[in-house]
Amino acid sequence: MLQCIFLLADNGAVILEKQLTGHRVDRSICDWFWDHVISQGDSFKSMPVIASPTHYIFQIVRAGITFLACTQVEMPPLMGIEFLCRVADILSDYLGELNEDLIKDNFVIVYELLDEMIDNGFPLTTEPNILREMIAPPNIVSKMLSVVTGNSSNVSDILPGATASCVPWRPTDVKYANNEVYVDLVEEMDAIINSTKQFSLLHARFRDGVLVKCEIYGEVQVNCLLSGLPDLTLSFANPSILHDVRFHPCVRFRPWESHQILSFVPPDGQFKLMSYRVKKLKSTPIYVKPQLTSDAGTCRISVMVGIRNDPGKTIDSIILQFQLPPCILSADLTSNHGTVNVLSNKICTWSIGRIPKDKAPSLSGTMVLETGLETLRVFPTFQVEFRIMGVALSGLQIDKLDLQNVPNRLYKGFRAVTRAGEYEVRS
Amino acid sequence: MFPQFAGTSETLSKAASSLVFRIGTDAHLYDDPEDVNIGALLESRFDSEKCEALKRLLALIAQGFDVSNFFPQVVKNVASQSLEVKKLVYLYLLHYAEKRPNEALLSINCFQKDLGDPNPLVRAWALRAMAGIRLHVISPLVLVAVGKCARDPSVFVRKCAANALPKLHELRQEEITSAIEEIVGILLNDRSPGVVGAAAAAFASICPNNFTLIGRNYRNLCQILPDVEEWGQILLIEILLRYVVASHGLVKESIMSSLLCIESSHSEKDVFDVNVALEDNGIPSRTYDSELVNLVSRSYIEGLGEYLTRSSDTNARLSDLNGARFTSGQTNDDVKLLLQCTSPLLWSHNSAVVLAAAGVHWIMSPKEDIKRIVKPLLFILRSSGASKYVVLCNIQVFAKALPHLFVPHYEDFFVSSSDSYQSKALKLEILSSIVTESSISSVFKEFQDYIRDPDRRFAADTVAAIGLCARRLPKMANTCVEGLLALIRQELLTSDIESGNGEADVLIQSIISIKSIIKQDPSCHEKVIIQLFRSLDSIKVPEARVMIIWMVGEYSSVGVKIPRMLTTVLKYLAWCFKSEAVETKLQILNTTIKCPCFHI
Repeated sequence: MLQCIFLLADNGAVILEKQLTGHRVDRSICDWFWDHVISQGDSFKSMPVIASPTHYIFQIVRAGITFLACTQVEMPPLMGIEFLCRVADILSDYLGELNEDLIKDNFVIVYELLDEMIDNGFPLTTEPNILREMIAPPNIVSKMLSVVTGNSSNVSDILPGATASCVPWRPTDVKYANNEVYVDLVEEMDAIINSTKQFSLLHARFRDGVLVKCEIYGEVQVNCLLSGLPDLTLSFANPSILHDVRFHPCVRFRPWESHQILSFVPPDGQFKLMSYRVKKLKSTPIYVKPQLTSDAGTCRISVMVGIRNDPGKTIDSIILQFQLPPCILSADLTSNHGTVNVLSNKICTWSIGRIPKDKAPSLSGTMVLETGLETLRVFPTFQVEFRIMGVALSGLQIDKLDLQNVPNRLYKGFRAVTRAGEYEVRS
Repeated sequence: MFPQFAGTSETLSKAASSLVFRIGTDAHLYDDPEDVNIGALLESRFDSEKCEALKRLLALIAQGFDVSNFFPQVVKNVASQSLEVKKLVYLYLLHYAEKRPNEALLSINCFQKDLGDPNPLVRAWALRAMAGIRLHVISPLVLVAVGKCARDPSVFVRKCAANALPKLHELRQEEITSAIEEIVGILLNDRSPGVVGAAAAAFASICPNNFTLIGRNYRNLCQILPDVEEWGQILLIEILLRYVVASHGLVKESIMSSLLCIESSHSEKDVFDVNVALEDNGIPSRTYDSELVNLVSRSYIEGLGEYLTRSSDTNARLSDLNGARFTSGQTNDDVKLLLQCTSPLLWSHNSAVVLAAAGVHWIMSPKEDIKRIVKPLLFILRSSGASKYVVLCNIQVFAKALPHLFVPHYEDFFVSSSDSYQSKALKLEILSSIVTESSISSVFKEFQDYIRDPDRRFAADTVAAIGLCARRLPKMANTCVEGLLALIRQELLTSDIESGNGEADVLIQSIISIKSIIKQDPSCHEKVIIQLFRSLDSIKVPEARVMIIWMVGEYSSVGVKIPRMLTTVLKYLAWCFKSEAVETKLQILNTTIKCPCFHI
């Protein structure tokens, strides 16, 4: 089981340590770890499980913070990784986001949370709604209160009722004046688009890519503000399109197995009811057509972006990002719409926002290759981001949401959003 | 003009805004924990001041300072009525209890008082802290406390009792071992799933081989499994699996036993073919290597950790458990029940649970049902970057044994630029082991893109994967070799091959791949060999030259044309001998010795 958890800042300094068992882990192990990060670079930082001379180390990196957990005994590696992910989720939920200063400013809460989340190296309470009842998240009111009164307790005096009930994810005595439930379909589109190259480099025209793979990773997120102990059933109009599913522990397996109906007693507040995947989609909402031609040590780049299949709603927050190949010395890029930024680490970002009605956004420019290199042989991959409110591109439709044990006055809301996930266009 | 001033004003305004933001947080405590007299604050009458002192101590702990000298003063505060003070005292106490055992003893009375508190949270905290002190002297007291809490009306307290047991067990006191195991048994029998999960964790670390405790509750445990908390599920699944293997042996319809059978009879055939053959016969052939079966089942029974650390198998207690035993999944209710109760867990939102459940099916499930683990396994690839790597490692093992399972899902292993290098490499390996004639063309199209990736290490790995694909699908060998030769020609056009940015590795790997393809059937690839000989003059990288020169010697008698051009090649080698690298010189000598031997 886990013996110690360290949180490291992006310069390798230990922000805090939490010893979990009697086998203390000296923080010198973090020095060992960071020495290797420096000597081996990024490939070491992307190793989730590392064998140090004394311990196994699990690591995840979130928003620049490295979470390390050490153990000396055999355990399922995914258990350590999943737990660290859960810790990171809960901390960023409590603190609003994750960064070194926020963790330092709220270190007492972080300690108290870790203490409730893990006992003797074994996870204890990881349900966010229960933790919120045990340890109050920092908020403006409590901050002001602590300034005024000098009293800053954020530890609850009583044990959340849910820890004792047969539905451990739900408090027993929830009361709302207005009963509301919101169901959101939050989808991410993963796509690989391949430009048909082979000699196309010689032709000065934009080639449309081939869709290698296009699928939706979606989540059903529910915000449940209901009194008492409600029992909900949610059904879809077209459940057959779902290729894979995973559920929150509150979902009963039987009704899904027999009728593809989600039957559950929900946690209180916001939670992820289900995640799903819809495979083999046929088209994407936007197109990105990159073209790179190189000759005599310079490379001309031009990228065009436009709407391919109008989803019926506005596509916004379009951002294109790509890493310039290491052999490129300098780049001079301009666009007819949006802003272009090239960072020192050769990451280039083109923020487009919305596509204007009157013109197709395009980026163009020239790049200077390394001396001695005539033409470009390696090609960047373009990562695309976008967001479409009000549409679930998978086509999944909610049929109905039925509630039992709920008062009559009730508001049900349904929303959808699709974002780009691992959406990339190869040039 | 004054960049430094601009910089200062910027940092100033930044500092000011963060100051506003930080008001009311504990920021000042972390930044300057020692700017007041902590000792005096600890003695204060006011809870708020005590709190502040304790927070300052915690900040010092976080920053790696030793503040154990405050121990006596902190311990006194354990009696505080404020829950916040209590919580902070516990955090401090547990960090240092081992360093200051005698002073820690002072707090025992207080804990015992708290154990009788009407508030379950107070009882639970007291138990956690008390067990966390880990002192031999107080272990009888802790044992009594745990025993009492194991029957507490509050689920949370019983859960904490289960978590306290391993702490007690770690003191390694023989006289209380049986008492501890008895409490584990009681908690495993609890009707609340939360407690059972924690009890499973206790079982796994205290008495992983005490299968009588599991046997008593087996049906209950299986039925309660879907309701247990995710973390408990991971361990409980493993325990139940080991119990079933220990009490019934391996399942003879399973993949696991057919794999053992194949390995022992040294069959070279694809596992799947043999499976089909077995199904036709109805009765699997009894060619199991009993030693191998013993080995495998034993490693499941004892748990991997213990199995690996123990050198010889002289464990008398277990000797009666094994002995090449098999059971039938069709008739054995325990096996059926375990498979049934782990099936829904393949939908869990915790990827560790999914993987554990998939493991049970891999070992227990009849071959025709094994398919059901494939989609869940592929779906958990999307959960997080870190878990992706571990899941891929597992899929690689599954795919090597049963490639056909993953054949239709090859697209899931296409590389995305956000994957880590390790994940990319694993995906390539998996792809090359599951590729079939129907998927090879799309896979090769993908590979063409990977070769153009700016990460040249990954491009070299892709070239290696092409070689593996050709070995797996001999029909594709010609296409692969042509592609690789084209790549070599392109590489040679690139002038920066020696600049050390990985281009040389791509070239070397292409020749390694070609070499391994030629090795399959040299006579078919005569033209390729000749092309390589001809390219010798333009290939400058010594490692690559060495391999081609080796081929000169190895294939000097292949076909008609090669023997005829041999003298020219050898002349060329002699001519450039002086300017070669040492390794190339050695290989030239080696080759010249080899060649005449064929012709004399």
